[in-house]
Formats: sequence, C-alpha cells, structure tokens
Amino acid sequence: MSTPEEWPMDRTTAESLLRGDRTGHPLDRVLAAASAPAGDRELAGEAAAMAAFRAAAQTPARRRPSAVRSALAKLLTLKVAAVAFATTATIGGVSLAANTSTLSGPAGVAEPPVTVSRPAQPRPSTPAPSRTRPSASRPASTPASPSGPSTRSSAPDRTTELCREFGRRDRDWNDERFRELERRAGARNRIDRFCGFPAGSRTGDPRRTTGWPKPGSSAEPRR
Amino acid sequence: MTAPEDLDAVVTAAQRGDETAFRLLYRTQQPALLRYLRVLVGEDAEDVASEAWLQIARDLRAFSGDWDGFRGWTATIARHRAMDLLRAQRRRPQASAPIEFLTEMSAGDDTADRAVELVSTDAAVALIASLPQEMAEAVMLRVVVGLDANTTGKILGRRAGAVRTAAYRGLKQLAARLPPPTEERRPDPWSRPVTTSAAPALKEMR
Repeated sequence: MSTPEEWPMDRTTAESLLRGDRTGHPLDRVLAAASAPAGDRELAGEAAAMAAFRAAAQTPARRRPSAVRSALAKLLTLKVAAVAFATTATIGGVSLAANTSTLSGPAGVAEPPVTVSRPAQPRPSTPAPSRTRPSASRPASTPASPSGPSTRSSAPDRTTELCREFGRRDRDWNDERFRELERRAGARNRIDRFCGFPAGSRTGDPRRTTGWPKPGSSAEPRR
Repeated sequence: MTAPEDLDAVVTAAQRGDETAFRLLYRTQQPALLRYLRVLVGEDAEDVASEAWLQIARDLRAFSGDWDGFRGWTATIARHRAMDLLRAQRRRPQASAPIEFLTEMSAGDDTADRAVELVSTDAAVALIASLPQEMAEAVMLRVVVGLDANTTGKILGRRAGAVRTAAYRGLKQLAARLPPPTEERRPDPWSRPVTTSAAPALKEMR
C-alpha cells in the first residue's frame, strides 16, 4: 500500500479524497477532521448574523440582478424623471410647464417594463386624451397599420413625450431622455414596439420615417 | 445534517425572510467559511466571517440559486472580504507568511503528527493552511466548503483543471508531511513523552 518513506498520492486517490470518500489513506482522517461538524465556538457570530438578517428584512430589497429592470422601473422612475427634468430644462425643446406637469403626473407608478408591450391589437377608436400614445393618434394617411400596442396604463404622458422626442430627433443615446425611454421599454431594441412605432415586424423598415407624429400635429394632446 | 435537496428549500425560505431558515444556513455554512478563512487570514477569520455574513444577510434576496449555488456564493463573498483585509494590511495570505513555520513543518512535522493523532479540526485546518496558498485554497474549497472543481475555479479565477492539479499537489504535500507508514516510525502518542519535539505546535505559535 505504501512506500517506506511516505504515503503515496495519485490523482485518483486525490479526487476521491476531495470528494470526501473514504480511501483508507491516512489523509481521510485529516480531511474528515477539517470538515467536521461545527463546534460551538465557531458559531459565536450567530446572533450578529441573525441581527443583520432582520435588519436586511426591514429594508427594501437591493440589487436584484434577476429583476433589474422591474427594480429600475420601480425605484428609479422618480430619480430618472428628476434627471430628465433637469436635462430637458437645460437642453430645451420642451417647455418647463410641460415637464412640471409630467413630473407631477404618474411617473412614480410605472409598470415593470416587461409587461408594457403587449401584442398589438386593433384599436379602431382613439383612446382618451390622457392615455393617448403616438400610435393611437398617428395620421390615418400613413401606410403603417392602424393597430398598435395597447395603451399603457401608467405614465402615458411622459412616455408619449419621450417617444415623440425619440422620433423627432436624431438618436443621441447619450441623451438622458433616451436612456429613460430605454429603461421604460426594457431594452433599446424594444423602443419601437414600446412606442408603437411601425417596427420591422409590420413594415419591414425599422426606421420611423413614416407614421410618426409630427410636432404640432394632432398627436400632441397636451399642447 | 440536512440533506442538500432540503437545503435548496431552506435557501428559498431564507430569501423570503424566514429567520429559522437563515439560522440553519448560518449553522450549516459558517464552519466551512470560517475554516476556509482561517487558511486565508489566520486569526482574523472570525472578523472576516462576520463581515461576510453581514453582506450575505443583506444581499441574500438578490441571490439566485440553490444550496450548491449558495455555498459557492458565500465562499466568494468570504474570499472577497478576506482579500479586502489583506489589501488593507498589505500582507500576503496567511498560508505563505511565516517562513520559519514552514521550516518547522518540514523538519519536525510535529503539527502533522498531531493532526493525524489528535485529528482535531483546528490542527487539520492548520495543517492545510501550511500549504502554499493556491493549494490550500483549492483543498479547502473542495473538501471543506464542498465545491466542485468548476465552482472552485470560478472563485479562484482559474480553470477547473488547474484547480484539480493544485488540490492534488496539495494533498500530495500533505501526505508527505504525515508520519511515514513504516511501523517503527509510526508515532504512538500513548508511550511517547509529550516533550519529545522541540517544535512548537501551530496553535502555540499563533
């Protein structure tokens, strides 16, 4: 079993030992001792750990990688709105009054973006003004389908505004508003559907050169 | 000991805020973390383990995985906290620090004798901690924390094959430090005078 000088070791035995198998090797006892059940001394920090657990239970969940987007939508909406407010106030293009009304609106109750874009359904009638989306008020002459994603139930004004900005300007992804829109849509490549644009699935053209509400058109219920 | 499949449910329950479940997780995992940390930071292991559990308690709801995943996740946290401490203290991990201790190990092997004869957990962990760090970590993560080679590799930032080799070499070194298997040299703690060896035991040295 062994040489006179020292205990042998080969890879097979090593793997068995590492798995916790009994091999008959004297290291069995060493490794078993190293992984023996806890001594009382080793559990001296239990009270502190439990206190930390209770304290964590009392605070809102933080950093949920599995639900980053919903967390962002829920936790950051207000912050994002505030940042967007500052940005738009600085850059211009949207009046201060419009922003103020947006901030006082439903910004804090945004849904998790995952539930936002639903399958497109025919919408023969125009929804109520407060829930109007660009797609709903798209000019009838456009080749785009009259259907679009169903109306979102929250933050419609802000979303409408962001979508309008998104379509009006060259896409500058460093603009805080577009990042906010990206967050609301859940992903950059979902913005088209999110905003009800004639995305590639319907028109074959991901560009939104048609069917896009123009500034000053009837698509702007709040102006 | 609770079966692993039951501990999967315990992890889930703890994530929902079940205190009893978290207590069971602590009692099951803390010894492994503490012993692993002892290899990294020696006497600071208790403090580092406490820091690790603070983070575990805080971030548990964000964790996604079962009991196996939990073991790897907590070991990762423990290792990060240990590295923070070592960085702050600008020192090397414990295992490779006291050079004279390594000399004692290879010369007298008194600690190895004790590890085999007394087979106390402290002595066994101390013996493993005397290995070069990469070997000691590989052995501890695989044997004591109970991780497979892949998970261990992720924690250590190495390939699974490198982990297997490090663990194998570590065990080979440990085996070489054990009392030789020849009958006349096999230590007999009952007849041998306690003061035979001049080499201090590991616990006395620390």
